[in-house]
Amino acid sequence: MSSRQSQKDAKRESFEKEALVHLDSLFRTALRMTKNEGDADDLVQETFLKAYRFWDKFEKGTNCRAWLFKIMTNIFINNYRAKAWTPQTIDLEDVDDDFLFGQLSALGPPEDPEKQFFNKVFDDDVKRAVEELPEDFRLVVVLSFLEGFSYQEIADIVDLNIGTVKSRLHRGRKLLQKSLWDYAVKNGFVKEAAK
Amino acid sequence: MTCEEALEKIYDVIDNEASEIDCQRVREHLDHCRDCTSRYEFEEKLRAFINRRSPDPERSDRLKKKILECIDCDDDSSLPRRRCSFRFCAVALSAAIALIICIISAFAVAKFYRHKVYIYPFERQHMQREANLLSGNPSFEEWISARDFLGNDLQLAVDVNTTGHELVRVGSDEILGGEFAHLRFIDNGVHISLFVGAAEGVKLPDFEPVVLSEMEYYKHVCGQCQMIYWISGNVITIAVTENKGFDLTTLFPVVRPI
Repeated sequence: MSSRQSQKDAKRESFEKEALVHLDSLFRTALRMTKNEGDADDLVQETFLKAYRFWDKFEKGTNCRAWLFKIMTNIFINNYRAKAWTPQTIDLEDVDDDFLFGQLSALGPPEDPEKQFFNKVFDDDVKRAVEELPEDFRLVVVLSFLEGFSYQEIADIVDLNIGTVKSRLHRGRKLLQKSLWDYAVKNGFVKEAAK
Repeated sequence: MTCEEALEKIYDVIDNEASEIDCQRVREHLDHCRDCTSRYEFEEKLRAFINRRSPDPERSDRLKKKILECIDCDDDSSLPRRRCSFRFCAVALSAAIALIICIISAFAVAKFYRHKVYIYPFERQHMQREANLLSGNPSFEEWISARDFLGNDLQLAVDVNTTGHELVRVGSDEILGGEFAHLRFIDNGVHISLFVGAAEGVKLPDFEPVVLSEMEYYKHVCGQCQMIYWISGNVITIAVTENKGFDLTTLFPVVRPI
């Protein structure tokens, strides 16, 4: 019994040291994906419990953080994703790659609109813009922007090929810029440039 | 490098995905092009801006504590002593549930309490043990290892290719006092759980028999939830979904004991 107990303790200790340290990071992403703290709590908790059950199977020394994110993404897709999910079609034809920058620099000096923009748009607005992204884009954008995963890591986590990851990231960026700009105009942080 | 070429690579550089040579070339271009530099700086700033963190140490401490507590009780449940008490709990639970069902039906009280009573053993204790099927759609090899994992005398052939149901999770549960294989499917967004186990001793009150030309099954509807079960040989299969409109009989060919 005591050897079993010490085995258990060792497992718990290594799990705490290697896996649980990523809790903040997982929670941040969970929050962006589920959009509410209660669900994010549950999602993270479920992820760690599942991870703990399979901790013996996890190859120590490989990328633990990516492994945890893969588990979480799977749970999210299977259990939390809006049930009546339908693919969304988005028309981005008229949005340039650097839409926001283009709009802001069109305003020009003297007040330095860029600086003004970053000073006036708050965390909440960014949070909203990210949360308003369609789910498929949001997941990829969050994994890249917030978590700093590489294209290849994201491809492994969400089971997509790297080309799809890049194109979703690209379109997610465009959507994000457009939504931040619309928000800034709506709230009078910047005045829309004359066309 | 022209401005056009540089801008094409700019996101790769910001995302740390560009090759060293590309990085070098973009940076050389940025060194003497003010226009591109300000674009680059803007994108970098935007990325950093979105990445602004607002840590809440109290919250994550609380969550961490909760997870560790769960882990400890999860651990305990794998000890034999606890497993016995788990089994006892399951039996006691089903007895209690049967009693509650009797009382409730006797008084003909609101339907959704019955709904809750039925859902409870299926949903609250689901997937006590789960096979390592982390990917959405398990391969044949993964399925085979899942079958080993189930570890009892029950061997199942699962035919997911012909029916359009996607198998998403595989595990086993103790319900109604017995060991059941638990298979979770998704069909067009509808979640379906199949519990497959030994028919002997399983009692499911309040099910209406339905006789089809090819087979007979039993059906029960409560609230938005519907359940059917059918018995072939000494194996009972219980199908549960929370979607009343879904035709559960399409699950007939999915699982058969071998």
